[in-house]
Amino acid sequence: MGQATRTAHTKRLGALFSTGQEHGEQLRQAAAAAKRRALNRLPDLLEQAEARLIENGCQVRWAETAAEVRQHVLEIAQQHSVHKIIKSKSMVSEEVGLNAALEAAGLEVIETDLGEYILQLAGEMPSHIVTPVIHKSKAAIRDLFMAKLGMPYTDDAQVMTRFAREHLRAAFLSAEMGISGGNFIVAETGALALVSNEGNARLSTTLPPIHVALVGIEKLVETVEDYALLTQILPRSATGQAMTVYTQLIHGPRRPADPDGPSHLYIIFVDNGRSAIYQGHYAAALACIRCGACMNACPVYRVTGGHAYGAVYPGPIGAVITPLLNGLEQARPLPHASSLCGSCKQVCPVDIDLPAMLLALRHDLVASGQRDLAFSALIKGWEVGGAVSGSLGAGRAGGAVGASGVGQAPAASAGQLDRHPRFSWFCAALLSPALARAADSAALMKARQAILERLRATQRAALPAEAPRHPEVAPAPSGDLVAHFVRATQNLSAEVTLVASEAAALAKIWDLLGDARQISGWGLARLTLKGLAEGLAARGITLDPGDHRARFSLTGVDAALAATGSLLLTSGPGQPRSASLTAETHIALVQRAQIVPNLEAWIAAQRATGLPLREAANVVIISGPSRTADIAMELVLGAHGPAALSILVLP
Amino acid sequence: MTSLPERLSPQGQPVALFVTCIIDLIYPQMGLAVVDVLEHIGIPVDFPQAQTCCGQPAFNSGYQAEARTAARQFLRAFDGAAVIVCPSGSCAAMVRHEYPRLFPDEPEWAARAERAASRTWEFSEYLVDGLGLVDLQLRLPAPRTFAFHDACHGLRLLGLRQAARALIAHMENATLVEMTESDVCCGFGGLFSLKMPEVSSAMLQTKLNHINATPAEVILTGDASCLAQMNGGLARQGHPKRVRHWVEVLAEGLPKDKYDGHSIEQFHPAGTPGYPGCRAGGCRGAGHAHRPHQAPRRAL
Repeated sequence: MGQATRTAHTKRLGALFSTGQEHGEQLRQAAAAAKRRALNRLPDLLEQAEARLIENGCQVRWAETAAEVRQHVLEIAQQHSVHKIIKSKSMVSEEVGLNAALEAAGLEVIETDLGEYILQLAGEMPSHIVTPVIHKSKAAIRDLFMAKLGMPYTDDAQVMTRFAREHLRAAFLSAEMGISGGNFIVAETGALALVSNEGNARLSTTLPPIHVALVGIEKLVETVEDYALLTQILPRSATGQAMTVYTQLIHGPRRPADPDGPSHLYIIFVDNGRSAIYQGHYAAALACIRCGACMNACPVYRVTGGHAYGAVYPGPIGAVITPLLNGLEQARPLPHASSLCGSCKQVCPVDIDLPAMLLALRHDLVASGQRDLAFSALIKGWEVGGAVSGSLGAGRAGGAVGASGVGQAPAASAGQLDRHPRFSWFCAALLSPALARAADSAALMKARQAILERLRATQRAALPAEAPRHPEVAPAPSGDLVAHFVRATQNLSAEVTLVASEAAALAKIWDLLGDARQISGWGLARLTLKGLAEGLAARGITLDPGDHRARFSLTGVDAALAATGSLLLTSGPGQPRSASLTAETHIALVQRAQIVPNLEAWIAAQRATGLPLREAANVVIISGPSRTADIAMELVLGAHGPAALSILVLP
Repeated sequence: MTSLPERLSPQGQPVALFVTCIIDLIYPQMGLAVVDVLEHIGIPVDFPQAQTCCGQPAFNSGYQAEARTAARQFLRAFDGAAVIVCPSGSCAAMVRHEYPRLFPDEPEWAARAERAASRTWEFSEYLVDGLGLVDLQLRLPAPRTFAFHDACHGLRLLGLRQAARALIAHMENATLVEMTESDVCCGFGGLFSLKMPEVSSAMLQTKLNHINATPAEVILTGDASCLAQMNGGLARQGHPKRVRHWVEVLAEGLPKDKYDGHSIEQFHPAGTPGYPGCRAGGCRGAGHAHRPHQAPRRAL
């Protein structure tokens, strides 16, 4: 556990500061400013985002409480006669106790993030927000899979991952609803942004006909430029990757001419205590992008693990927001679960002053009369004896008086963190009759107004949001873009081939396909490689864009990003989303002219032409083959998406 | 790197020593070492007798009113001091960072707090950043290898890291090595170690493992409280290594006549009854010569 967090911490420092301390610090300040600017305009941005999302074909709902979130999802499920639901990782769904409510209503709910799936099988809660199953050993997971899924004995994390993949793929293909969280909402374009490595978030938001996204109201960002910055900061800070394998922008449900994608997309804006945080002097905590870096850096978390916090959000950020979301008296030990060493603030990519907030919460606890009696006596003795009398000589007497109280203090409060009944507030909230009683639909309609009014009622000073122009996260490479793209792609375990001619490209494709006779991919009209259609026909190979069981898929790209070795694909006629997702091997054809320096360059070109990206229901940036490290931090390729990515750079 | 953008230069000014309560109560030899070093470089030192704890234990536990009481006493005691030096990053950070925010409704006290904050220096920062000194012409009697533990508040609130290392590295016969995770908390955290002793002990264990693994013979740090936590752990587990305040090592490199003859009376004039700190160091009472290099017998 300690070793795992240390590894993540080291990788992260390497990634965020890969181009120097100064650049890394600039990125932190720019990211903090982007989030704070959005928070300063939050009510306006929510209205703007809602309008854009609706223009894009989404249905937007608002929920003030956990009970309202659960009721929205249940209503949507009933309306579409849903029986089976697949979920990609969503911390908000944990926060509102969604699974238990759905299961109580007779729905089958399947977690598809490998780590969350393991926890669901084991009946446990996540212990880390990015690597939820960091506390479980490989052997424990093996035994669980053997007992619950009938997996044959193995010690190989890859075999275990592939076994889970096969098990879950059937669920993806049969579920009627997919539930996701949301990493960002881009207000100006009405985009839901997701990041994932395994591919389960893409499957959950692509295959089922209904997609429901639960998004905290603090997840808004103003512009696509802010998004480009933050969506690259997040993985650097979380896992040390320059980009997650799949970085998605979703602009609504499938368009009429789209070959796939959900026909309905519901976005639920979740308050559940956030607007109250917004009103107070902890508003900056809402800038959190849930990267988990503060946990990996925290020496307390390293020794206790996440479960000791007894809350959905553990670690330093959890110790701050859990008391704010659930009430101080529900979480009294948490503000004290820190030595105030300051590591969390130092690593936070959006510069949240977590130690100062923990201190302020301790002050609030005392000010609200939540005094620990033995502790109060100790402090009082210290004050009377030492501080007031005004000399170190007399101060010693106070120290001695106080010291007599010290013996009491540990007995009264020792190990509260460890003993804090696991899930206590969580279960209480879930089972409380008042909360369990479903609010009526009229009340749900009022949530929007109530949330916006609360946000607008705040008198607090604007959060400081000054920063220079965004630095590029992955700086544009100097020199040959193609050569740089090839190197970056190889670093991601993708195979890349520079072909000298179209004939050579075709030969490479036949070589890769081997004896496969059924492949999926983009429509032939979208694949601009001379001789491809004839070659496929001559070899008796059928290309069916809707075939989710084909081993190979063949697609083009809309752009390629040299700095990060990424492919950018949009959805549209002849360009199904699943073409780059469901096969074992994805073969991508890249024209040299499509290679641009980095994501910022692609966004700048979009800006110059009026942001046409909005016209595609789905934009995905692919960086290497699908991967997971959920089992004992061992890297396995092909978690849910393709295990192999083969890129052909055409002349 | 200091946290305040503009600070008055301390050059050519006498200093007032803010010795901190833990050094006064448990490790007085560290306070004496500061005075020895200051006298070596020719700086007049004043020791305000009315100083008390800065109030951090109360403040960090959430007791703001009680912390204000202590802060007022500190501000009275150091009223008029041109430069305040402190051999603790944590206590210096309390004055520098928290005092100015402690009196939102009392402008007069807030102004006094601002004044004190702008004049307070952690000791290595004072020597290196304030006076521009790194080579104090000091020589250890025999070669020693040291590693630093970066105490959290000094490191992250004051940006201290290189100054004390530079001072030690310039001593003749001193070698520095880096210890694994030198910047990770030892688990003390003030009253955190009382509130959550199991967690604190587990954090300490990680630190002790790193101390055990480093080739350094002595670990140096700039906060007596962290030092007490680590030495307590080392003693309980029978490790031979110890943690020392870097200023003690500086003082050991002073010319013999400069550092061996100081008496406790400089701080507590003759007639002050028994001084517990000295008892902890094995002394017999007032009026004797105190030997600063004696190791304390007892950790916290």
